[in-house]
Amino acid sequence: MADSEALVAAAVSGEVAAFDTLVRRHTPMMYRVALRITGSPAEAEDVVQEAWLAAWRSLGTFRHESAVSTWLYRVVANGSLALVRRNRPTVPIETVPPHEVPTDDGSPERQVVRAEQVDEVLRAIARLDVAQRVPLVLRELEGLSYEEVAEVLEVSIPALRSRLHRARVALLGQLRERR
Amino acid sequence: MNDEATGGPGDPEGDPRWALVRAAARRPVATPPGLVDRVLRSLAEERHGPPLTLSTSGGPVSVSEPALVRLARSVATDRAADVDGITVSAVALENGQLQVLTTVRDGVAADEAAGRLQHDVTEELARLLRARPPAVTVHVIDVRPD
Repeated sequence: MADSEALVAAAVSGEVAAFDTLVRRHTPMMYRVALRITGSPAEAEDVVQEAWLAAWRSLGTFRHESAVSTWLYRVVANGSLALVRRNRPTVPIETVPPHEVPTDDGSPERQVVRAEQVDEVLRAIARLDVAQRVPLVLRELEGLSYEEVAEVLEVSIPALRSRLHRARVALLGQLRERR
Repeated sequence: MNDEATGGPGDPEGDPRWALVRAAARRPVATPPGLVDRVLRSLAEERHGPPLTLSTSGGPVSVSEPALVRLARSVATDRAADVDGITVSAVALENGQLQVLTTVRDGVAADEAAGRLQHDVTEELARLLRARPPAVTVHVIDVRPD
């Protein structure tokens, strides 16, 4: 299977099918990130569609200085950010997306309690200020390194650390308040 | 891609509740059915414009511009083989009409050859598409010596 860098190179040279392969490969990640940032399945779908169109239009300017995944994270994070800012001051209300799949560890009762607690965490993340929410989603939910998140968001690592610290404190504060 | 240790006491990541954040990270998110196809359709429209809509007795049928042009090129080249003295140079779609550019052999009645090719291409496209095809115009753009 061709790696994503080779697919982008092929797409730049005119192989449309190579770009379509990228779409099939990375759409799950794009949707997951958009959903976590917007808090709305419908808005996340819109963001993903627009993000891929933006990626296609900017394909010619892709410089291979960053990984394809970093570029795609940036495109979808920026798209989500723009949508959330356009919709201000709306607070996401669809905080339990219908496509969530429960995990299957522990007893049924424990699973239910755990699932409710995880739902509460996701709702709390969706209530964070978007400037805190985006790096938190990329770092804590997507598992990107500090370096990767800083590159996606085009901020310095010290600035990112500071934003993440505030985001974590705010998130825990929300979780404490709801107990 | 995780490369960071958890924080110590006083750090948010040292809080017992942080385990729930990690659990949230592990929760799978299913991609909505059809999303990839919808993205691919949007991209196809971005690349080639919206599809053309053709009328059929069973209702409208959509066909993308590249697909229609490929089909028309194949049909025109094939039909031209049955018309004496005319060959197809190129096929394009402009303003919703198929333009067939041809070359005729010196001495051949160009208008008759072009007229027959136009008729045959239109008829064959209608048969293959089971729909009324876009208007077909045949242009004679060159004459080659015998």
